[in-house]
Amino acid sequence: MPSPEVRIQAVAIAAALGFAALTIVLVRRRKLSEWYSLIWLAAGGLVSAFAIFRNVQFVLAEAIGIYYPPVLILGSLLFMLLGITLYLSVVLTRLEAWNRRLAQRLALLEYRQQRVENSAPPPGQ
Amino acid sequence: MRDVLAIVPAYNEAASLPLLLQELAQECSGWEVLVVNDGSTDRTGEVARAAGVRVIDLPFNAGIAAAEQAGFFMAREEGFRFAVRLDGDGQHRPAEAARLLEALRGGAQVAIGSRFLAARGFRSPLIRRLGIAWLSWLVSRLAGLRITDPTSGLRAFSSEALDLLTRFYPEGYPEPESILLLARRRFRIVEVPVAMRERSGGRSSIRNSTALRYILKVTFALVIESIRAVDT
Repeated sequence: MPSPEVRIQAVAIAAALGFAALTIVLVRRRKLSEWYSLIWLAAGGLVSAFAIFRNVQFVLAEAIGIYYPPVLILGSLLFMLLGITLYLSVVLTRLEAWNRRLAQRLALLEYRQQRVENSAPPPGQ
Repeated sequence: MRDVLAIVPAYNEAASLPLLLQELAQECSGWEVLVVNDGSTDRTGEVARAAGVRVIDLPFNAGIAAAEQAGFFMAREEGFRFAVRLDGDGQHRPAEAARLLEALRGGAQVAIGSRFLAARGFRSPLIRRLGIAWLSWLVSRLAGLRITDPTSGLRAFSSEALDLLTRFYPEGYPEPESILLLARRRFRIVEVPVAMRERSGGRSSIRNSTALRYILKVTFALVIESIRAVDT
């Protein structure tokens, strides 16, 4: 049986690849846009990078003064997720504004169309 | 140029609209009336059409602010000089709305009907008055002018004010924020004492359970508005 280090490395890489595969499947089925898929692939890539290059966490953790290196992985992933969520809230806010504006324009347009139809002579006359 | 468009945002107000629309026709002849049906699930749209006023239907319940702003768009695009905004629930009296208009003809650009400048008519429950007192202090402080009834929805706007409000209009319950928005751009805002009635049907969209949340949201929004750049 391989050492614990190698086992966890294998699990982490498998999980990251699985996540990346799911992202690709969603883009392929047009359930997710190419742009957002890139963001999620980057998140998966971050996890894979830490898993593949195990020594990076020790070097980086030492450099910025983190005693327990795995916290660096968790911390950077958490920070990235926070960033993505904030970005999505910004997108959502914009979509809400557009949605509201569309509803208003539609209502006004329907009103004007009704008025034109009511003032025009009925067809066939 | 057309003169006055009365804008009545209405969400499930079929019970109270007929009286309001009848009073508008009697007491404010010469005004055009627009009911903005905000995705009602009752007969609001039919009741309003039966009264012979303009009606537009938002395709879903987009919220009071979106409904009002849809009315502002119509007022601007059809060249009305003034727009008067009244609640659909009957608490705003058309005769009082007409007094707001006098303030606009006297040179104001925004007129707000205040229940507190003169103590008459229906008074809100204590808890609501406390909330209003806080917002009144905050809005007055930030806007640099005395506002006694910042949540009042009985308002009249000149076309210049409508120009601004079709571009920027706060979300949710927009009344206190919109005062600050206008005041920071030096619009001439006046309060006019009015009496209001208890709503004649339906239910308030701000109930006590949500009142605290409303106060918090509006307080935060006011502070943010006060640090926003004026020219954007």
